[in-house]
Amino acid sequence: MSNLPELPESGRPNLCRALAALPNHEPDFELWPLIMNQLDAENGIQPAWPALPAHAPDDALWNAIAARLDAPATMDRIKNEELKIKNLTVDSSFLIPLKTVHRAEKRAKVRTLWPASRRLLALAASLLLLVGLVWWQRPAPVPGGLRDTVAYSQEILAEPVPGPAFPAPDPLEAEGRAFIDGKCSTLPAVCQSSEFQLLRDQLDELETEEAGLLRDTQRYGNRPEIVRHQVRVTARKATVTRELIRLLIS
Amino acid sequence: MPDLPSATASDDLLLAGCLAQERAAQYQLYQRYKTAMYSSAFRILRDRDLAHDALQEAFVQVFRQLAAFRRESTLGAWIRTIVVRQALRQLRRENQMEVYDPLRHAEPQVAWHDGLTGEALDKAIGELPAGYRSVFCLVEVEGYAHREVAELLGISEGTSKSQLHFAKQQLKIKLQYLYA
Repeated sequence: MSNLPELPESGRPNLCRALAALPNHEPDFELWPLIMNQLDAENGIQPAWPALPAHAPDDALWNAIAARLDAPATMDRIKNEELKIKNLTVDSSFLIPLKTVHRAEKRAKVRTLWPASRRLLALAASLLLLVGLVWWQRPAPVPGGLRDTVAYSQEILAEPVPGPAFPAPDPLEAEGRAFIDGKCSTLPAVCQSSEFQLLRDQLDELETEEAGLLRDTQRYGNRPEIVRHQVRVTARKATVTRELIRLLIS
Repeated sequence: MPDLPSATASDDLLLAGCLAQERAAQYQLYQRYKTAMYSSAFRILRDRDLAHDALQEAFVQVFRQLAAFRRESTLGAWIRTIVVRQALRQLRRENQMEVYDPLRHAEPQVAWHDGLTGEALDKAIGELPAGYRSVFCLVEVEGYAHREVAELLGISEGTSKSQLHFAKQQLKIKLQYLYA
């Protein structure tokens, strides 16, 4: 009805007079306590707020903020580059597409760059961490300054080579044993003496050891330590045999 | 537009006290504006309970949002806008806005009677349908422009004008019998 004709309103002054004389209306007396209660109820939540624990942001947050604040400078550089590209009169195929520039802008917006001072701090922290790690790995000091040292050596073994065969039984040795066995049948008192029995047991042990060395030689070849051991056993056998013969002769 | 309590230097003191959440200052402010504001709400709603609800909600908003008062208008005008908006919100909850249909309603050419009094007019306003009553009160009593009424009610400016036109016709008919 906005197209209604704007006719002069008949009796308009009468309406204005009545409007000015409109009676007022008073709210109930109980309304204020209701308002007060509502305000109190809302304010009643507030006293609990200061008791809530405070939470401090990480120190690194300011760096991120500062980096964001630095971002406009990066954006300006990108825009300057964009202007330079636009002003170039070279073949358009050599121009960087604008989309690429805008993607770079987006990356610049979200990337957090560390300022130089922060990088130096990070480098110093890394060095401190490295020194601490080395210090932590050092050997613990021994009370009294004494220290056990464990040394080891490594011997490179040659491949087993077919060396000379284990020495064949000495015929003189066999003759010596035959001589001892023969005399014991005629001189049983000497052979049953404790000294003779002790030497005879030593000779048996040496023969057993010699047989073991023979097996080792067949398995590992003529290794130096086996040969050395064999030499010692042979010399000991000769000594024990001579002692036994001496007891029988004497 | 009905008279609002004049803004005086004490308004500033009251404002400062209210901003400091001083209950005495809040009560003084309420006392200063309660009649004018309740009258506005009641004329729109024509229901004491609804008007009370509207005024309560409005004053709570006033005290809660007082820091947002930018002194672009008087304090009374600022409070009244809050009250009117709250009253209209109440009205929408309770009623559907009637739309004027010129084909359905006759338009008697009746003038405002010479003997029209405030009480009679007030009673007749109360008998208007809610939509018409709102527009009449906002334009003729509160002094809002149709553009402002349209914004407040969420209607077009033309609808506001037509609603006012029909509201006046209704009032004239009602008052005609009174003074016949």
